[in-house]
Amino acid sequence: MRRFGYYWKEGFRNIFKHGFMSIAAVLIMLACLLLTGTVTLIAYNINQSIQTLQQSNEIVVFIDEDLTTREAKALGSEFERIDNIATIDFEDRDVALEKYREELGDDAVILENYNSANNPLRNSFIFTLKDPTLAEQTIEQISAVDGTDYIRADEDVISRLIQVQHVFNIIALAMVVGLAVISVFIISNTVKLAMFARREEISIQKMVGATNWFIRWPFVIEGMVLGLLAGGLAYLAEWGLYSELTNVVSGVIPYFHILPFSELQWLVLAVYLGAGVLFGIGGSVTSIRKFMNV
Amino acid sequence: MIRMNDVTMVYDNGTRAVNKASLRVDEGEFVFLVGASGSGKTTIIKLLTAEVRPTEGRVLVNNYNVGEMKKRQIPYLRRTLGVVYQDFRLINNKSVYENVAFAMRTIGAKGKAIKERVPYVLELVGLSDKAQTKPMNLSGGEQQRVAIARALVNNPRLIIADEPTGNLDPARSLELMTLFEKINELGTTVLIVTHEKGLVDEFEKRVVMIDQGEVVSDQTGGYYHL
Repeated sequence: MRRFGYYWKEGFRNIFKHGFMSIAAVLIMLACLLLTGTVTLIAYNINQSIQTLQQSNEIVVFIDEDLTTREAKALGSEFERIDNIATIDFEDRDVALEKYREELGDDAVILENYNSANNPLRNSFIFTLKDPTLAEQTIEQISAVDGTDYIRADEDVISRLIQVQHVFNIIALAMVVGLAVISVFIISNTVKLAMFARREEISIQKMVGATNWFIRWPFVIEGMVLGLLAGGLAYLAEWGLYSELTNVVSGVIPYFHILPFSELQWLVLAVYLGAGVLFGIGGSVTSIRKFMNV
Repeated sequence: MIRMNDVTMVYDNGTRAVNKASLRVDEGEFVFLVGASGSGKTTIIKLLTAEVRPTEGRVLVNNYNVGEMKKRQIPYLRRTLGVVYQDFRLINNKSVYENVAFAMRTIGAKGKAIKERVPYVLELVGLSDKAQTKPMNLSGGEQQRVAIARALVNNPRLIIADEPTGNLDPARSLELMTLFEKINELGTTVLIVTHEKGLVDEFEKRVVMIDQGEVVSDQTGGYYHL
């Protein structure tokens, strides 16, 4: 317990004693976390938008005109059994005709001879899918239901969106991994520089019989505290940056939906603090190893 | 205390620094280890402090077998030793008191023990009045006495000094050797590596001479003769 107190005291003492290096380490960690985190958040939002676009892509199933509206509506229970269907809406042919009239406006005159008795439109179901990548199989399952006449689905649009999402995911992943590797490299070098300044102290400790963990603990605590500080500051900076980014993007691309920061804040805070601690401790422990071989 | 039996130490680059050397130092002895530069004296010190391991032979220091001990045992061997270097190896931004106390803190000593022991060793080396001074404001001789105080503070059974007077003038060197003699009289075994003939001859202690990694002479009350 006494030793634990010593480790904390030494850890904090080191932070203040090597103030310049501590500030440098925090600023570098902050910049790395902010850069990697912002790219991840942007990628997440774009991905979400692509997914929303995919999911809002509808499949329309027109029902055989020999079936009455009642019989057509009853097919809904069969469609419900198909796993990949997220939502089902039935559109009554008469309602569809009314809607069409409204859409045509002044040109609705061309429909004036049509009524429910000679309605040229059919009853239909409108589906959205849970997983758009399974669109083809789902369409096959829908067409296998008796009473289905024909299906209108923008399969090309769906598959193109999926392709776009895949390419985007690869680019985003490469960027995040690349930035993370660069961050670890920069942080590790900054800590190494700090360690180099203290190599004499470490070698004296080794010489008088300190165990490796006795030497390491204050550095671990120092790394953890600096990491937490960097993570906390990065969170606050991200808050401001994200809000600003949301305002700018909403102004330029109004239909692009960005998740509000309040929905992500706890996740961002946890990830930033966790990554800060991991970078801080990892950087300290790996950098100190070199100076321990005395 | 120290038992070296047919010890050979070959570095990775092929340099044979120690060649079938045998040495025995018993409790309470005062020994000079002498030899020209590059004769293997420093490698022997490194073997005794477990900085390197023997290629062949057996090195026993305070009952620790340096060749076979586990890495995690090395700190416990070093706690039984006090090592003094030519370049002092003090921490310049710590005071004299802090430099000495640092060695006690490092092995987990209690605050009360530190407060009692540090003033005692500082008095022993004659630096009580410089306790709050920073090393850079001390003379070479005083800095070396701080290093000796640090080596002594954990009450080691054996003090090893590697060229401790290398950076000092003759008068300060003599003072320092007298201090080592006093420490030895208080019961601590002392092994001093040096190539200063005049000093060795002055004290008439046991002299072990090394040449090309081999022990070429070992005489109690002997002189340094090249």
